Amino acid sequence: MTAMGATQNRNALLILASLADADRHGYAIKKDVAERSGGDVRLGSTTLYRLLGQLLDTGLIEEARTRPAPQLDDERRRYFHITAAGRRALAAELRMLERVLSAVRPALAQRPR
Amino acid sequence: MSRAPFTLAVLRLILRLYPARFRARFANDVIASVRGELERAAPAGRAAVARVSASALLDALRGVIPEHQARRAPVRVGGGIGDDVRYAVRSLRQSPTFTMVALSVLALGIAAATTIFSVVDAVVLRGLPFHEHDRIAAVLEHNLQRPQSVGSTLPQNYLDWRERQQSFAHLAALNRITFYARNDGGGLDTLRGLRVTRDFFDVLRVQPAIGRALAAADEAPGAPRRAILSHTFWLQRFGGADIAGRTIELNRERWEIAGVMPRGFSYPVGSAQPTEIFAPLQFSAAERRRGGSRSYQYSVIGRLKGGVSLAQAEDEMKRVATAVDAANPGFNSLNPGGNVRVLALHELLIGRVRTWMLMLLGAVALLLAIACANVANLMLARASVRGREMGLRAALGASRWRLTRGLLVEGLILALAAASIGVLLSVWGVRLFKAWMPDGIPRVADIAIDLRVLAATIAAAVITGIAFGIVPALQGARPDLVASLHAGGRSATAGTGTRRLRGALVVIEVALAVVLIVGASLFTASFVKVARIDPGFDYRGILALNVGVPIAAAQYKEALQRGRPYVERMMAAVRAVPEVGPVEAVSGGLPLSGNRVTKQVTLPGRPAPAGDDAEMDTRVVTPGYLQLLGIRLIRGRYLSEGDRAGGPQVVLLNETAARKYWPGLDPIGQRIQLESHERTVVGIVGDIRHNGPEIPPAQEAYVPLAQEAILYATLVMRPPKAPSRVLPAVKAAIWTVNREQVLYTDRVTLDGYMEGLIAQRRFNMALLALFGVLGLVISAVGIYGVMAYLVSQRTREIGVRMALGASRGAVVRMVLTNSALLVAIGLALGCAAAWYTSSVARAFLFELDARDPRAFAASIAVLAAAALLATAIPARRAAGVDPMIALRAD
Repeated sequence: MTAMGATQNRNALLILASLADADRHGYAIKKDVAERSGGDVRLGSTTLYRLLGQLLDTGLIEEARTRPAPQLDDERRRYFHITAAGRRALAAELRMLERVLSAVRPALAQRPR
Repeated sequence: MSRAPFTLAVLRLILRLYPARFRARFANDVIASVRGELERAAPAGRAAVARVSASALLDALRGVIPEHQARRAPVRVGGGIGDDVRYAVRSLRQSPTFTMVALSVLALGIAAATTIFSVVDAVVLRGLPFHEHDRIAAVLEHNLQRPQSVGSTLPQNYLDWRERQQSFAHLAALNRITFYARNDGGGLDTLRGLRVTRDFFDVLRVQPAIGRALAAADEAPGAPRRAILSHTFWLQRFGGADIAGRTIELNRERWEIAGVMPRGFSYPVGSAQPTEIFAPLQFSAAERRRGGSRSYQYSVIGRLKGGVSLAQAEDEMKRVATAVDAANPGFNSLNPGGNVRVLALHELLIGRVRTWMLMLLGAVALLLAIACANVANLMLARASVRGREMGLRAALGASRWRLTRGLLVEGLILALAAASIGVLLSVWGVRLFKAWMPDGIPRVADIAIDLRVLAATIAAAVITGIAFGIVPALQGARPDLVASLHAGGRSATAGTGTRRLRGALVVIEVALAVVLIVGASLFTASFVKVARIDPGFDYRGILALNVGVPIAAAQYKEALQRGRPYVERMMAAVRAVPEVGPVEAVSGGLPLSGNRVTKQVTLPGRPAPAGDDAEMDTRVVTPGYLQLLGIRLIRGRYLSEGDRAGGPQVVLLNETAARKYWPGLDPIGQRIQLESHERTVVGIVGDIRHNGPEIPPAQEAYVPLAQEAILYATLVMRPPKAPSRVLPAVKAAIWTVNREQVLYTDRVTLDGYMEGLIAQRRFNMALLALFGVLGLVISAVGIYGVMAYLVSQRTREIGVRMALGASRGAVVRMVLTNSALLVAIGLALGCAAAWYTSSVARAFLFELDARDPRAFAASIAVLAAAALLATAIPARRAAGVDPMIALRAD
């Protein structure tokens, strides 16, 4: 897997995690992802929508049918909602990542810098 | 803040590169999102806005390829050559004007190059179609004092050489002969014959396809007559039927047909008038005996033995010939001393046209180079316009090699498409060329567009494609990303590098065009000079037909007695033809025909004239002949009906003869002896250029037909209407006297002979002029392109200048100065190149220095005028720039 692919996977994971909390619109997702990653991951607008497009196409998320209370809403914005498949995928991905981490950590420990 | 709309504009452009589906779904979201980021960054200052802009744009750029890959969309920056080809074809189709111009320029260049190459290849470059053809050589006998001697030899010499020499495995003698064969109408047709010794077939290593070759027995005098037919003649005359037991009537005798040569065999190789009948050479007893007859009409060719070089063979043949000559002192009066040369047959055949042909090839190569430079220039212009596209493709991760390859593929596609059109055009060009080419070019029948020529064309196309593809490729594959994005929607890589490169290409085009136009001027000036020469008589509208008594060697003396009455009967018959005008006759050489008869000159009471003065061209003419041709009378009188056979023997001389033999004296009344006839000079007439406009007149005598025995004569008439209108009636009148009179009708007018003499000059002039004009037009297009580009590049600058008070005149001057600089450099380089290369043309010029300053001046003037014209349009456009619009444009 290429570096770019890995990054893309990580970003997709962060978006799924963000939507697992609540339905959000694009800007909100970006802000949430930045906070979750401690400022390390700042998604570009285009990248964000590309990822959202891919997640939509694979059925992991969908456009939200319910919208927040009108006074909180900006009607031009589109809200996204995680699907059941999305939650399952997120959970599976997290389990796999944990296994990967437990396998990788000893290697790092044996060769301290 | 001012950056925001700009950033969003660029973002929109980038988003256009995304698949349509993505744009439809998210373009507005992305733009809204970026706009939000910019607005939030604004309070933090310009630097923050710039950072956000840059990262947003880069982010958008980075996604283009992966997004396409995810969608399996056709546009990719990766991929194989197939993608390059598809991409190039689409890109060419998207700019039809560029493609049309580039294709036409290149197709013209390639068509011209293919046509000329097919000619030069067939005539010069290709080997002879014989097994180990480079082992075949000709043995030529020369007189060192007469460089124009043709190298033919005596039969006695050939027989002795063949006997003594060791260098050649086979040595053959041959000579051309005309056979008369009866046609269906009862008249006679002429056939091209070649008499050959039996060695001929061994020298060439060609045997008849049907029947057998000649044998030693066939060469014995009185042997049964056997002929071998050429394949073409066999098909024409016998329809390819079985030859067993067939005969043909040649010169009133029955010949057995012994064989048929293979298809494709022609001798001389590729001649437009190939031999139709090969007959055994039977040397008569007189031709075998020293002290017998001397007929210098035999060519000798041989096949070298293995391991013997041309130089060795020449050394040996010189020794042999010198020994043979020394053993028979005085016999070989024409070429004494045994000076022989041994020359490869290929060289003998094409040696005299090689330089000329290679010059034509060089000229067309220049034209092709101009075409290439022009297309490279066009591609550079296009690359500039496409700089943004290149920038994007580079930003999308396309490597420099990818971009270069793409441009190269585009160049190659263009070149190959042009080559296809060019080859089609050249098929027509070759046909035109063969029809227009002067007579006498060897191997002309072999000229064709064949696989060899096609291969060369394709190779040339690939090379040219790479040549003009690589320049913009190197330039275009190095796009400056920031510059290309900043330049907005218009032209991008406006770097000075490109401008300089385009300037250099224009300089090259101009320089090459100068060389072509200098050549064209030289050839045109030569032709005009030749055409302006007064030949001393009026050849226009003269119809000339040869008539004569049939000769057989045994009846020579008897035939001489019959000749004059025969010609007089013919004249009487033709005079009866309506609208034919006066009919006169000349024997011993029709002007411009290349025929001449010379007679020994003796002046009574004076030592025999030596050298060139020893012989004089002598024409036997009817009294009205000189007036009919408009030859001026200088002194004395013309010939008249009163100059009869039994009367005083008279002669007219031309001015050259009068000056030569009686310098400072009055020649009228002087006595002169021509061979055995002593005559009185009764008149002096003007010189004529008997051998063509380029050859100065020599001494010449005119004697009355009534006082000379002849075998043949040329009937000369000047019909008031076009010669072709009366020709059928004239022929019919001749045939009423003798149905078997053979009339050569390929040339029947003096205009036709004149045309033949100046054909090569006319051809060279036309061809070089054509190349010159094409080169000129293409270069002018190049200059226009660069200047127009320059003006469009500098529209803003021009606007600023005008806003600051520059006049329109100043702006026009600026553009003109720019153009003048390029053109001046091109002219200087071109003149220098022409100065050094024009010596190639020297041999083909008539009384003209290859470095004639007038030719150079004319080329400079023509090119400068064309350049001015090509610059005028962009200059006008520059002058028409509205400062306000130019400044607002961004």
